Amino acid sequence: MATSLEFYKEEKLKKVEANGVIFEIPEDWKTVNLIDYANVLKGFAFSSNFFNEIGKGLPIIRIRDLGKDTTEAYYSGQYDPTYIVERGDLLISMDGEFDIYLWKGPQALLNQRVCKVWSKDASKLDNMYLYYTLKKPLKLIEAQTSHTTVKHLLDRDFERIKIPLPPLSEQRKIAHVLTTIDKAIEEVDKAIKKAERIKKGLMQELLTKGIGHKKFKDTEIGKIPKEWKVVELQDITLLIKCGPFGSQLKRNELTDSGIKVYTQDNVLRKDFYTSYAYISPKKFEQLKSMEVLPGDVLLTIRGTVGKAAVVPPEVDKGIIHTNLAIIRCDLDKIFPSYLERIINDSELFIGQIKSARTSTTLPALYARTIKRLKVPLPPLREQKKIAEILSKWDKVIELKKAKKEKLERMKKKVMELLLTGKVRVK
Amino acid sequence: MWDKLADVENWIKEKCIVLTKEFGSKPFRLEEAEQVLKKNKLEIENVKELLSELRKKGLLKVEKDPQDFRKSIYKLLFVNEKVEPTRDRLINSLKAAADYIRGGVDYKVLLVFLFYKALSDKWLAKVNEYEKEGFSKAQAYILANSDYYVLWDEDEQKLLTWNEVTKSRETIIELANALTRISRLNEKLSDLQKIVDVLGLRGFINEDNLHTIESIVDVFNSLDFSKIPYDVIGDAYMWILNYFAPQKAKEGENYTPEEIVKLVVSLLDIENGSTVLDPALGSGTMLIESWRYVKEKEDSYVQLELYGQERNEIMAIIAKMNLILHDLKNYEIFIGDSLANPRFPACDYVIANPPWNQDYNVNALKEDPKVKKIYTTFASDGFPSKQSMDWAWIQLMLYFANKKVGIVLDNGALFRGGREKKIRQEILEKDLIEAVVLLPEKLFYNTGAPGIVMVLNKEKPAERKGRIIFINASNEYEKHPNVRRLNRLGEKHIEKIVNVYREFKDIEGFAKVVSLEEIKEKDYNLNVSLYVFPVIEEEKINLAGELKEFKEIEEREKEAVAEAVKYVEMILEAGGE
Repeated sequence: MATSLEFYKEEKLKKVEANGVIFEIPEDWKTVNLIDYANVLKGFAFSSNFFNEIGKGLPIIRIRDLGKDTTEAYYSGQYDPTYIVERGDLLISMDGEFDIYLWKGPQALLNQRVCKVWSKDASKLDNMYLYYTLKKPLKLIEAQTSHTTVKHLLDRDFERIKIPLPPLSEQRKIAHVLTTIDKAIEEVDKAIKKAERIKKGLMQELLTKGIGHKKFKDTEIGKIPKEWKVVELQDITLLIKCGPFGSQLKRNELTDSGIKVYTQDNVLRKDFYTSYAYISPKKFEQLKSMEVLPGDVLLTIRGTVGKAAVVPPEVDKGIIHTNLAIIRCDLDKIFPSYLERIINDSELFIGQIKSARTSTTLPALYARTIKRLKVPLPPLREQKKIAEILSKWDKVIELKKAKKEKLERMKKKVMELLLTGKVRVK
Repeated sequence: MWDKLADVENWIKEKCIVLTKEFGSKPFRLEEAEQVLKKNKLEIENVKELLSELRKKGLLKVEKDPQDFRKSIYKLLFVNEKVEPTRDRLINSLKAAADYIRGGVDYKVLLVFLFYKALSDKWLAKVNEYEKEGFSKAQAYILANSDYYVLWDEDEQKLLTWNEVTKSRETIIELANALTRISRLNEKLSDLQKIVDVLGLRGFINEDNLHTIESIVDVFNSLDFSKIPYDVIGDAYMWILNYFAPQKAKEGENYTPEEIVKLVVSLLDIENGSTVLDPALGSGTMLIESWRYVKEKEDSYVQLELYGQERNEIMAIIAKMNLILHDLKNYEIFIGDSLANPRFPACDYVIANPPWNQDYNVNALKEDPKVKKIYTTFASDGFPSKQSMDWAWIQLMLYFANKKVGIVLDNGALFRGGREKKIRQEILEKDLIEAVVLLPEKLFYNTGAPGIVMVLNKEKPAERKGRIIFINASNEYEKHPNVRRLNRLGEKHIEKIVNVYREFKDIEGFAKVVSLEEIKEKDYNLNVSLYVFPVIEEEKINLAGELKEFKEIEEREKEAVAEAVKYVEMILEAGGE
């Protein structure tokens, strides 16, 4: 169908009111009541006595399963076949957020608070067109519904819904265009997931076997290439310093402005620009030994333990907070970007962190432990190459994610244009 | 009948119960059923539907009314089944009773009722036996009294059995009084009085709560305990404890999960003919498990002397009832603070799961010279800091143990600094520690933190001298079948841990035998993870395969994106912005 479609701008528009708002549609379109053209089947209140998570019986769809392709629970009791739903059916969530989904999972039962909707007559209302055109009305009703704790979609809400109805062939074409865009988004998503797996596989390969090695040796941290060395962190760094302990930096000494205090958040999100905590210049002088320099590797040492990030160049002056440690690399021995990889992704290293943390309620790492952590060390040249390869794949993933986001935004706009007939298809 | 109802939806269950009470196994008509439901404020639109559901489940028989062929006569099928309850049926019944309790009353009421009914049934069985032998009822009562427990009040000429007391609404209100009287007449059960008072049974059984109590009484009435073997009753008692443990944990009552108790007892390998002590008795599960362990091993006459001490009076009584229901006779329970006032004798095996990180006034341990000795025998200054009494418990248990000690503690006890470290060092150097096991997380009801089990041995065999086995069992767990947030040790996990302890050998990623010298080098730190930790099983990714698939996806993606983009371009051309 693809190339035989033509798009044109509609000039003859009329005003209509539907679902609580006024908007314009082409003169030759109708607005109709949803329930005149579509059937709504509310899910059944199946007894939770027969719910199980071990796969006994039929899958049963609850609100939490919408948008996925499997169900969390199964139903092992007797059921009325009226409530069986197939792949491709249109399902609507009726509590909390009101939205319509294309069910991508296997045959399943429809539980209460989820309903199925479908066209009464495919020669009047195209099912896929129905899917796309219902999204907006549902969101409008959601916005207009008052609630105490959770919003509920009611029968009378369905009775209120009006949908714009183009001629059947145009419905089909609109659905086709939107499906094409959805398909593209899906493929990009698959590519992202695949790329992430490749990156994971590469990390497993490169961080333990290196590039092009044929001979390996056994060491206390595992098998590594013969040419690599096993060293302690203190042997390849100029400084390892933990953040200020309780009394060194008290809560009331944190201010809203001044010199930055870098926290665990900065490291976990790899974002060194946002900051919520500051200290006065005077306090900074006191804690100058904990100043952060570009190129430093910051390590999380409390709560979420063992994540690292390299401080980029040109960051604001600052110190680390109590739940971080500074590791300053000896650049003749190890690159910060390579150390960051090892800490975050190398099996040979992660295992040590797991056993080193003293876990009672809140796990923590201490300086003397960090200093003695063992690192598998390739020659500098190889470190650089490994870090480069991995960062190339990081870039691929980043770009694909950006592509997906762009497609999603474009889809949103296209939906607006086509579903109101501002731009028409023939 | 409760097990038949277990499968049934709640809206059916409650109405079925009402119909049962009214009609029993007598036949009834549709209108009668409607009236009964209405009377009990349970009316529904379609009574026929309800009856139809019951019939489908095999709980109801339907016959044509001989007087009017258009109508039907109904009859409930399960009512008079006095079946010998199996363990499962018993537990299903208790589940039903537990449902009634929800929020309304202390779960210990269930324990007391179970205890009372079981005792009554067994007593009545004895009475029947004597009557069969030809004695009169009065004579049989007196004989049963002397054989078993006193449930016939000679002075008042009153029967104090469960059946007698619960036979009508009016007499149920007397339940508390009956229990009090029983506790007065039986020295061994004198504590029953205390429980009745504490549980406020007296106040509880009044007009308002009568309905709930009646429902619970109904459940117990359907069970004939005279035929149920003691260990099944005991199981049921423990089941109740286990069932309510998760919510009780929030209120501070700590209950050790069964599997951990099994692990400790198995590690110690308790022998027949020995003495066993639990100085932090709780509800008595460790003593009972010790007895069970020996019984399974020996399959002959079990001879164990059991001792326990518990500082909470009510828990001590609960423990006593537990022991009585398991038909154990050779025990002695003390009440008091074991750390400052140990009242028990030395025993072969000492096992406990003491309160973790207990806040305590350490000076209380220094007053009595006899008590002081306990904490200056294995360490020169064995008085810990007041934040945690873990190592005080270890010393107490070592002091009273002839052979082995098995203790469950918080992970932190292995590596805390300060005073504890010195005590730990001295005990290590005396070579009394034999094994340290790191347990998985989320085993306990009141904390997600991992616990440890430490085994101390006063009679270390030659090949174990100067060495300790560290076992990292942090991955040895399965999901708890009933409580979503919890894990538990499975049978095979317990076996694995016990086996490697018995063999005292290295297993990569699981167990390591470490010399005292190495521990000294690590600054007397007993953290299991320092010596052994599980191998991380990461999914091995086949790079070549993934790359091939990636390229294929790239092709498809290219096409799909091109199509989508073309449409957007066409739309833009047509004038959309």
